[in-house]
Amino acid sequence: MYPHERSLVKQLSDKPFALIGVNSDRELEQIRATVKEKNLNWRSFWNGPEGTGGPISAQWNVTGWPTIYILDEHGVIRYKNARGADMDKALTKLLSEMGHSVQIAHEAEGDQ
Amino acid sequence: MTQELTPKIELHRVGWPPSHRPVSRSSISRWQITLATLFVICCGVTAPSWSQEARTWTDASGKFSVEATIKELKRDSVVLILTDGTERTVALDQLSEADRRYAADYRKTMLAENAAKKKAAAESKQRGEDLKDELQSILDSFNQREEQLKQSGTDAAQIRNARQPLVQETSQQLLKLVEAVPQSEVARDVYIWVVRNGAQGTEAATAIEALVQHFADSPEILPFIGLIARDLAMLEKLQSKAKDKAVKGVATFMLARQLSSADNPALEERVLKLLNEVISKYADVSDSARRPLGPQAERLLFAVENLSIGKVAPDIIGSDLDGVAFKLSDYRGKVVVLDFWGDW
Repeated sequence: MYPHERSLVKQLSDKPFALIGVNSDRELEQIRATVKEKNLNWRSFWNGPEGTGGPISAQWNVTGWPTIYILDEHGVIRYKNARGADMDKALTKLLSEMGHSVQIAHEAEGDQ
Repeated sequence: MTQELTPKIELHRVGWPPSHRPVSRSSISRWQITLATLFVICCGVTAPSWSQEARTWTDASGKFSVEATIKELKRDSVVLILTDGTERTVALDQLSEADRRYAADYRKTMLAENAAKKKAAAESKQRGEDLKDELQSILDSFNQREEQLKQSGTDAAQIRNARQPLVQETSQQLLKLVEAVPQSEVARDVYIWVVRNGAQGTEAATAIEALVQHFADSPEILPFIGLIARDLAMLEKLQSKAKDKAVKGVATFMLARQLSSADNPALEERVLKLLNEVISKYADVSDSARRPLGPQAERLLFAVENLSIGKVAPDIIGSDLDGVAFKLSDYRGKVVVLDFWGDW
């Protein structure tokens, strides 16, 4: 997961795109360290000390991790749980609706 | 078929009561069918077959007559359905002698048929009781062979594989045993055994269908609603048939969940209706994991209304991992991947 996400954020840095996380780790200090160590380049809400039982995932009825929603420029939910190549395809489509033609390709990178 | 011999108005004049209420022909015929079906299913009582044909009813004076079938015979009146579909209630003492005799025959036949049905039901139950010993001996044999398997098997997967044909074979025997008494308690125990022991294919389908058909109201089927729910048609049938509060509540919630999983806007209205029913009537009912349905239904309702494809995402107001406050809506105007993640 991490390499794909890192690669997307990097490739689409000059496009109207954002990857926003909702992190459900219980220990804030620990996840901060992980973000630094693994060079995770996206912004995340913190779901609070209750971890997967936190308020944001509860409101969003999330019962499995990871869960992915893809929103268009109007904030409308357009895709759910599209991952990997499906996510790339979805993003290509939504960005093209905004007049941005993108080609997403990922370099092989080992997860750490 | 002959129509009414005299205009309705004249029938009214001699005192035959008018129909209870004006009903259109099409609605009454639908209604008649529904009624007949309900009669058969719920009460197990049907009118004698010879009474289904229209005959000519004549009043005591012999002046007025009407073509009609009998719908219901009460203590001192008869409800008739005229050939145009309208309904009349006529006092027995206003009828000709021949009609009164016909009504008396009708009453006698009905009573006899009811008694016969009751007797048959009692016998069926009795036969079910008689099968208990045989049921036990089939189960004993199963348990014995299962024990042998466990002793001879080397690993869990191997034992599981060897057990499956035994379950199928035993299921076949059990289902055959109760074939003639599908509504008996023994049959219910059989269906539950088949489902609980993980039978597959025809045997599982037969047992699930029979549970839905005959035991939609038994709280005993609660733990198996999840299995029934795999077949949407069966779940819908169970949901519509169930009257037991717990069964109805769980089936209604599961149906809503099942229908909502496809994120199909065409089903949204129905899903919302089902969920509101759960919230208003079955909130305190618990599912098989002992979780009350109310809060689950509320969450799903929120999800259907706000988290389905095509809905504007609810805003998230919170803080990032560095404690800086921000909102999801800060990113309007951008394509956003919202990723619920954790490092575990």
